Amino acid sequence: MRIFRRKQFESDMDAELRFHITAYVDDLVRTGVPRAEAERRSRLEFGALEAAKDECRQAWGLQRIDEFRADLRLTVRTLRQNPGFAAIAIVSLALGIGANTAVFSLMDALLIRPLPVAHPEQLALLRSDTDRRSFNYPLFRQVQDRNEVFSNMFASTYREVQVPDGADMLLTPAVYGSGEYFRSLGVAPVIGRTFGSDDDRPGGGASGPVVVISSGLWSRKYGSSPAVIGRTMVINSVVVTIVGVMPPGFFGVEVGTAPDIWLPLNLARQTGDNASCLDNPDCWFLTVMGRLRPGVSWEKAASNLRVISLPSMEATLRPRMREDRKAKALARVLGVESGRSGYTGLRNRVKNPLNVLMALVALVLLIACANMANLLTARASARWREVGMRLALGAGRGRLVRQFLTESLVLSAAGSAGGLLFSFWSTRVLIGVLSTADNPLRLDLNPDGRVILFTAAAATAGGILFGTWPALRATRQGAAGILKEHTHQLRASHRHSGLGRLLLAVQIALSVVLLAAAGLFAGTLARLATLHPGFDPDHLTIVWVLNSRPPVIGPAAVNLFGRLMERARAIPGVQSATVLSTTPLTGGGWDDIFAILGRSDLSENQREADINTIGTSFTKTMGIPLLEGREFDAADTAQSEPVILISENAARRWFPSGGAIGARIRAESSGREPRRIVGVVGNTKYLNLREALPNTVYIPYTQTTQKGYVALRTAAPLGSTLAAFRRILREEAPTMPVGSIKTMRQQIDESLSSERLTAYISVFIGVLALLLTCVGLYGILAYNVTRRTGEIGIRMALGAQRRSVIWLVVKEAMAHTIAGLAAGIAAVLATSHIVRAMLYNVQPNDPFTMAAAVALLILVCAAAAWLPVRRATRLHPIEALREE
Amino acid sequence: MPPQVDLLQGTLDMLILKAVSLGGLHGYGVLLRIQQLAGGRLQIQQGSLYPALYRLERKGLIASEWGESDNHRKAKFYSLTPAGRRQLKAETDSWNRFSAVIAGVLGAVAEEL
Repeated sequence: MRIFRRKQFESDMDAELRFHITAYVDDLVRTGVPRAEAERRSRLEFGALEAAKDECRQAWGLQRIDEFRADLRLTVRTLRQNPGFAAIAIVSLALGIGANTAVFSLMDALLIRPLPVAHPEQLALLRSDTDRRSFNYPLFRQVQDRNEVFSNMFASTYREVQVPDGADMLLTPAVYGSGEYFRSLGVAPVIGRTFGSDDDRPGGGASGPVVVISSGLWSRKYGSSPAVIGRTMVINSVVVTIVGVMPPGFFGVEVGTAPDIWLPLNLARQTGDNASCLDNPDCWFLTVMGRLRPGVSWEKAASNLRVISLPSMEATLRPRMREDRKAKALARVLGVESGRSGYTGLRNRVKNPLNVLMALVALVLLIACANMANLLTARASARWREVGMRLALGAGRGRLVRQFLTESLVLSAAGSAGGLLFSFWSTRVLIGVLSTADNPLRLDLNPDGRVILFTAAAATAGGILFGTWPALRATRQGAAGILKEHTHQLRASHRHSGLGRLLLAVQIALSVVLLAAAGLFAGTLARLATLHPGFDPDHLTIVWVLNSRPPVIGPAAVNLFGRLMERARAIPGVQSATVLSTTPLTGGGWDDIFAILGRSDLSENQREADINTIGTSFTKTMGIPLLEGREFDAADTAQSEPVILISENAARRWFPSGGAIGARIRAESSGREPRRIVGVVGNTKYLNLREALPNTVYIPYTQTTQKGYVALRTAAPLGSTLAAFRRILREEAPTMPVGSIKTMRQQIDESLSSERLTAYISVFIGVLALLLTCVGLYGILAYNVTRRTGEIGIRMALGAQRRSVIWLVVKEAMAHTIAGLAAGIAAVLATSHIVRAMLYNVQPNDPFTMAAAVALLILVCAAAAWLPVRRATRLHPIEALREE
Repeated sequence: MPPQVDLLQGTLDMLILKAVSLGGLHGYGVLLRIQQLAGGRLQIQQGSLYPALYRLERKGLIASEWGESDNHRKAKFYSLTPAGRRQLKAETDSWNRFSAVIAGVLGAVAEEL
């Protein structure tokens, strides 16, 4: 306000002082003094008018504002004169701050931000064992009944359900929640009601099957009409009634999902999702959360859960369990952790990468700040004489420091504004890297106050950090010191750039760390991405065919998939096709322990094998070599002898002396009869690319209930081929939608999302660090040359060689560069073991990576040194001396 | 002209408050009243009066208002606020105590010790 009333203030003050003088003159004239004399005396006795005005302004508190505005004007003017300096400073800071904000935003959204529900801090996430967060339904009911610490408790699971959309089936994200789900979360619907325990009964509640929908679905499909309440919709072929609409922004408890439909958990018995799972203690598919009773501490909750662990486990044991497994099951201990920020399966996957990335981006921000300090120091040195002059003319030291601080704060404000813009874009890129077609990551990306606060704090801290030092340094000397020093500049300036060189050493050390990290993570990604998974991932497309509700099973399913496979082969461009029950490298699958008939000396670990169900032409479609025996053909049917293929690994382990073909093995928990081995195929990765090559076995799709994928090896452009397949599917099975269509390359990319995230960001900040260091070094050397122009001129006039001139310029920075490199290498050696688990096939102290990082840095340093050195060697002695 | 004394550091504010407490005055009037009350024995730098007035107004001890002077000129008039009245009383009390103590010390004679 005071700023805006500024003009008023000035004119009032003028009027008041004028009145005073006029009144005094009048009084003097009245006592007989001639007017001219009176005016002279009044001016004399009043004293310096402008000084009085200044004091008035100061008394009114206006001076600070005036000075600040003057500082701002001066800053903008000097930055305009030096656009290169301003651009480098602002861009480097923007990139540093932007990278920080982006990683922090992602971390915040995934790990920190509280759920948008009532009192999220009271929410607890339960563990069914030390490191397992999933529950089976019987165990959930036991804990719900037995615990004494939660006021209410709920189980939920995220699923995609089928909703008809015209002629097609649309997969819609949904949540099955137990009766207390909404009551526990304490979020009211926009209209209608939520469902409660009455609706979550095995046979359905009094209102029959009910659903609650999202406000997104409400507006998309029902035009936000209140008449939606009471309308029915079809989910997985079950007719359900819409009873309520949740508010926008509500997504339940699983971070990164955006469900459109909430269903009572027991409705799954009718809709068929995990229908058989609800009463099966082997189905660990529920996330369980509870709301702590008022006054109950986390310790109390944990100890209560420990106490009820054994009885809960006993009550939910599978019948006829082997003694050793029973003991293992009974030893499980329930646990609890904060559910304030909800739950996400991504959390375990990205928590370590995000923490490491956060540390790396913080380091790069540090480098950006050091750079800024360096640039400002160099500028302050260049303005040495100006500062001396102003001190001599009576400028206060604090006043000068404030001006320097203003300059750096303006730079950091501009930098953080740029950083915020950059982070809007980069956060979206990060989410894109983490999202997959099957699991799109839906995060609220509007940076909240916390992120803005974080950026502002980073910028302000940076501004104060790199603004104070040059300012203090520039004013420490005092006018006399500075002006006198100018004559002894050669000696004195040595001391000035000491800090700059120290900062340079720190920058170089940090750059070594960041480059080494970039090398390690990029190396890991490159190794994984180019790893041969045992099958040929190129030109291979996997189509996930979802079963209808109620499902097609038994011989009908076998026939259907057989026909799909046959007809797919006839599509132009398809070279071969087969059926699968599991897409490799999705992180999921099916495994069992096999009894090797005739051998009892193998441990369970050695007999464990991953299982896939396959059709004919499997080896050709997947590009897996057939090593021995035969693969499945049309003669392997539900009625023929049970057969199996095993991988090379399994053959070597189970039959070290050969003779695998013809031997018989039996799956211990999922197979009734033994299967005869008819062939041995090459090893492949199954769960993910990182795992050691597992034992794998293959069962004909005609002899199991498991199937669901059709794999196509194609030559032609995919578009027309896939359209043809969709047409075939619609003809053969109109009720079965396509769950997803992915090339194997896409699947591999998706399976490497967290590696790619880490590699991209670390390479980005490695390059950023390199650029910043380059700029920093250039700044110091260029300053050296400017400062020593006179000296260089004298030396050259006296016949100095080019080489000694070069040496003169670089020697000061050289020692610090080498010290920085050494410190950086030491830091890498000391800390790199932290990321060991994130690496693949590369040691944390990989000498090649380290050497490459150091070599790259030296190269860039040399490039940065080139320009200033060239300037120094091309100096004309006479001109150089004249400048002095 | 009677012999003049220089103003003690910090006493100008007190004198302004006193002057204004006797009725609203413009800046020039404050100067005249102080000189009148002091019997012309006080030396006040006219230019220093206004920063003091602004300071007091900013502290909320006096308030200002534009009005018309005796000879019909526009002038800014100052008056004492309640906070100013309290301040004047406190300063007057402490000044009286202070001057009594100092006077007592300086007026001491040998036999009274």
